[in-house]
Amino acid sequence: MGLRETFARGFAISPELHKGLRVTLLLALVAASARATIPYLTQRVTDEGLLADSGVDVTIVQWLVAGGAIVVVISMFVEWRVRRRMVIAAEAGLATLRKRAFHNVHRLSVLTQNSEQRGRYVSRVTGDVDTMRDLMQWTGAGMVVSALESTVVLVVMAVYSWQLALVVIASYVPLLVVTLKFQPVIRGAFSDIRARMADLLGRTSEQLVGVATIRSYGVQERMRSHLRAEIAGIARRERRASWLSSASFSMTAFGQSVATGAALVAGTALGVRGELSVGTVAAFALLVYMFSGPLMWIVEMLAEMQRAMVGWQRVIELVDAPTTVAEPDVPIPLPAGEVGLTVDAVRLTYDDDDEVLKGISLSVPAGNRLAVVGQTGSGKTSLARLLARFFDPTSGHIRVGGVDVRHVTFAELRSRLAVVPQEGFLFEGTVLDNLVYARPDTDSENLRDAAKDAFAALGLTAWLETTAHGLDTQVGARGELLSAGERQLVSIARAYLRDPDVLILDEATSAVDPATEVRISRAMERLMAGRTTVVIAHRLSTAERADLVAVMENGELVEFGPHGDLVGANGPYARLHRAWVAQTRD
Amino acid sequence: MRRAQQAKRAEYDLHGSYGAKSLQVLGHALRTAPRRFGVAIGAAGVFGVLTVVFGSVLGLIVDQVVIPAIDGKPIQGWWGERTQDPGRAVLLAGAVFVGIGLVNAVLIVIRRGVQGGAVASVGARHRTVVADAIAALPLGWHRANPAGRMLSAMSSDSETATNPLQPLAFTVGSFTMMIAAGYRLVNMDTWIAITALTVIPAILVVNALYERVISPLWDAGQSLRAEVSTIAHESFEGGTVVKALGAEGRESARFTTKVDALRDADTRVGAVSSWFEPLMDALVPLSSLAIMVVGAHRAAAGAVSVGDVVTAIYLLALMAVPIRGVGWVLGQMPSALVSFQRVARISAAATEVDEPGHVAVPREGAGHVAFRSAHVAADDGDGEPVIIVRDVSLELQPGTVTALVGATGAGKTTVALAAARLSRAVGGEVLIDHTDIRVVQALGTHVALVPQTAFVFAGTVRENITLGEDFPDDEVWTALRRAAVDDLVHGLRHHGEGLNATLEERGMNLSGGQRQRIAIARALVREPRVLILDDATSAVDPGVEQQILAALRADGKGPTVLLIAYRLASIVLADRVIHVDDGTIVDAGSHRELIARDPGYRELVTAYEVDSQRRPDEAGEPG
Ligand SMILES: Nc1ncnc2c1ncn2[C@@H]1O[C@H](COP(=O)(O)OP(=O)(O)OP(=O)(O)O)[C@@H](O)[C@H]1O
Ligand SMILES: Nc1ncnc2c1ncn2[C@@H]1O[C@H](COP(=O)(O)OP(=O)(O)OP(=O)(O)O)[C@@H](O)[C@H]1O
Ligand SMILES: [Mg+2]
Repeated sequence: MGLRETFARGFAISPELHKGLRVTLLLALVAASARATIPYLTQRVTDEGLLADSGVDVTIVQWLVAGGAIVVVISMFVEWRVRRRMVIAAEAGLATLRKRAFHNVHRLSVLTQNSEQRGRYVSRVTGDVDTMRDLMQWTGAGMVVSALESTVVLVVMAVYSWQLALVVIASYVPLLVVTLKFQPVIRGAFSDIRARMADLLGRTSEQLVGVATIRSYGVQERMRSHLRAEIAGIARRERRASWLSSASFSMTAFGQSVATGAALVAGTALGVRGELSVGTVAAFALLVYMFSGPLMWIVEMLAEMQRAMVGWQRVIELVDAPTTVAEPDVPIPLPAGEVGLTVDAVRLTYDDDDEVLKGISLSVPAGNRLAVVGQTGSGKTSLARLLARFFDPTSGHIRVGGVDVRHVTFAELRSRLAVVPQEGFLFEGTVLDNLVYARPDTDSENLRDAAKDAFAALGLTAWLETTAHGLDTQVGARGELLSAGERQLVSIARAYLRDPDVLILDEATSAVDPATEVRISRAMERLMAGRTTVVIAHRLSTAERADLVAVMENGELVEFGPHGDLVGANGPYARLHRAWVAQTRD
Repeated sequence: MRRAQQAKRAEYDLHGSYGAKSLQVLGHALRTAPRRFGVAIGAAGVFGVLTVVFGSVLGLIVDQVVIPAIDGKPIQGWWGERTQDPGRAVLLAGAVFVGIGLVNAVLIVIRRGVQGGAVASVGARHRTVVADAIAALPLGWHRANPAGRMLSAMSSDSETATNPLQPLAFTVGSFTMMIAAGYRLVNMDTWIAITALTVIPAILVVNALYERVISPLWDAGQSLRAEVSTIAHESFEGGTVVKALGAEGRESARFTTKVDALRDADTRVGAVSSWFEPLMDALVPLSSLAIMVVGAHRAAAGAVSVGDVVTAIYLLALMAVPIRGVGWVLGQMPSALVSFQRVARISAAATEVDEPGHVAVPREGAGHVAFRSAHVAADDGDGEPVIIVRDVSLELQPGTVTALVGATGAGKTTVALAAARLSRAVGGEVLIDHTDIRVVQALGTHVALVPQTAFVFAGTVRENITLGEDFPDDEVWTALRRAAVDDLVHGLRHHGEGLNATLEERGMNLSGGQRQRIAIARALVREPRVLILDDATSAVDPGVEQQILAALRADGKGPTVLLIAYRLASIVLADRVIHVDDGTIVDAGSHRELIARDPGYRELVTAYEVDSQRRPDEAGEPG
């Protein structure tokens, strides 16, 4: 993405950034011009006041100084307004950018989300956006104003002597060209830093989650050394960037001496020929100084801008990341009431790996209960994820109520079909806060009642009473103040409260004790009677009570039918079941 | 170790007034990268001198070469001694000039380049302190504190804390310039000096005011920044659940609320600095205007010459640059201080010591574990520890398998963590081989815990198993085979094959049972003397689970095992069963004994059996 595209796309995403920008720049110009009058005033004070023919003229000095003070104060106020305007616009624009990027992360498919470390996404919506703050708040405008200042001085130079102006430009151009050539390198360096920073945050967030494992194996030092290596890598790259940008900055500083020297030489030569006065040559020394000051500033800010552009591009990339699992263009509504599920010749390949689902076809009539069993890694979870459209199959179709899920809006699909994934993930807050996710529209008092009812219906009131503050118990980061089984209990209550037409439970009770599990699943059977349910479980007690059982093996559906039939068929399921019975009884 | 930790804490300890703290932050930076800052400040000092030289040489050239050359008069001074040809003289002058420029440019590169390097070192130091804290924070701290807090300390705070350092070398380096200028002013005329030097207290007053106003605002802003980071992290981490619940809109709304709050906070900060910066910008011009008036009066009174007044204005202009530099340093200080202290707080909470033990326990045979009236608490790093498990006494005989059975939330994990020294016994004691667990050296070589939630990180299979330690490949394969995942690993081809295949973050490219078995292999490769399996086989097929457990005891040289499991078949494998409920041990004995005398236990382990027997009696059930 080039500079221009970045600005164009960035402004399109956050229109706040350029709204009123023209007025702001105009005001900035006023402030800058006001400041530029100070050297002029100094000169008049010296010439007319201090060096007046009739001795020091205090009155004139006082008048001029009063005028100068007014100008300084005015420019101060104008600058204050300018900065304020920029701050407001920038912060509004950046907030929009953050929100858009965040929003898009959730639109990405689960697979895309999983392929990048979570910490990296976080760094995009936080640090990368922050790198742009300086640019947007002041440096951007400052650069434009400085460019104008330099241009004005250049015009003045040309008026004094076009030859000398040409000399000045000629001595600057090569250095400027080199400086500009440097910019992509500097940008590369910054981009490298941001990418590394994202890696560091990714690693950090991973270690935060795995801290118990790290501690229990005593590998703290090793894990630290990974992070330290990342940190040292970032510092090394920051040093490189710093050398690059100071080299580019010193180039302009050198340009100033070259231009001044060249102007003196050429000016003297012209003066000797009588084409220039001494005053003009002396004035040029000052003019070159006034010309190069803002220019140096621009180069300085250019490096800052490269840094900001890198951040901006990274966020824009995320905002524009294509969503492979997209909303349908022409949505088809699901039929009202009970809906069944159909899996039609579904194949799935992750990345370029082996096929994980090798042509699965089955159908669950509306209101039926399907148990999916099979060895670990046989593809049960993958199937569940496809049913919920976390991603799409490589080929084949998933239909809910006869409609291909690809034609159903996400809002409708999620409201009709609830999934309880393997990991019982809770959000930080109270138990009740987590239940709000099931019923976002219910007000908190009604929700409290509904939640109590739900726990009661699931036979979990006794558990709720053992917690410190019932529904108001804090669950901690990722729900980790609760035990693993308790997290699953809350997840199930959350799904139950949602009251879906289709419920998919992927090992939702794997960490719950048998007595509680039996209690919950019996309650669920009662409560979900007449709704379509898919249950994945290693505990075959679930399968015994299902209407239909699907047996998966290595990505293939090897058996499908009612429990009783399959036990009688004496195939893979019968074997599994016998083993199960042997294991649970003594 | 302890001493190292105290030193670390002292490094980030700030005390005294705001000014004192600011100086300590600068001092910390200078101590972190003394050589780099030294070079940068030196280069800045020379640069300051050269700036003065540059101006004087320019004046000399104009007076001694340019004017005489144009007026056709003899070239004067140093140049005049070299040549009287105006063309040659001006070329010589130009060359000298460009030469000074070149030296200047080199000095700039050194000053800025090295300065940038110094700042990078300080930033890296802050990050390292945060990185080091991760494993040294009490486990409970992580359970109670969101990841975003660490992430933003690692990124935003570490960066902000270095902001005042950027102009530091330049400012300090040009102090020479400032002091020289101030000295000349004082010698010139008291009144003019007073007028010129009032700019310094003025700057200090403005800064003090600014600091007072902006510090709390900035503090609020950084807290919100951490919260935004927290929400983002949590929301992305729970991405699957967010999708499952169709909660994208709600999450966006939640994020939006915080982002808007952050925007408002940042805007308030920006609004304050948007008056501060122009005010600082205006101070020097205003004070040179004041000098003009005072100077005119003094000159009229004959106290100073007109030349002195002109010089005074010039000197103030020279001083303006370092003064502005001081302004920058001071302007960044409030925010830097806030961020520095955020890092410091994390560093202060990181109280756990990696290797607290000093008593070496011999690595012979299986281990012996005993709890004696232990009370185990959850420690969240700040505040009172909450006691979760009370008065637990148990004994694991070497080489035996003990099953810990109990209802959800009974306290099984808490007991397991205590046996691995991951949570603290606040009363009673936990012993390994009759030695207090707190003083056992290198506990990780004796006890291996496979946690309830398998942790797999982004990296190769080998890295995931060895965690960076030196295990030969055949030992890794043996561990994989005993955990029954060798077949899987043989088949893996993800950016590499076999042990070199990469696993994604959290093992997302594995199934749940595969993740668990990787975690088990990680424990087995270490050949622990005590193995704790905290429900570590819940997603593994019963058959495979049997295979793994049977392999553990096969040769009679297996470790002492503490097994948390629900499956009857696994429990039956155990020599002894301990039934916990509601944080205490209800009963202990063999499975047979417990089933006979402990109704709670009976209900728990026979639930499935009872359930499937009851099923046929119940009419009217769906299906
Ligand atoms: N994101 C992914 N990328 C690549 N491969 C994957 C991914 N997710 C799963 N797999 C592979 O697909 C296969 C099926 O995994 P899946 O999670 O569907 O199994 P499962 O039957 O649910 O197993 P379990 O009972 O252990 O949960 C496994 O071999 C796994 O390694
Ligand atoms: N840091 C903490 N602060 C407060 N309470 C906690 C904390 N950690 C755990 N608890 C509570 O202590 C109890 C015991 O937790 P623990 O994780 O030991 O249970 P468990 O027996 O392992 O349960 P599960 O079978 O679900 O894994 C639970 O009720 C839990 O909510
Ligand atoms: Mg547990």
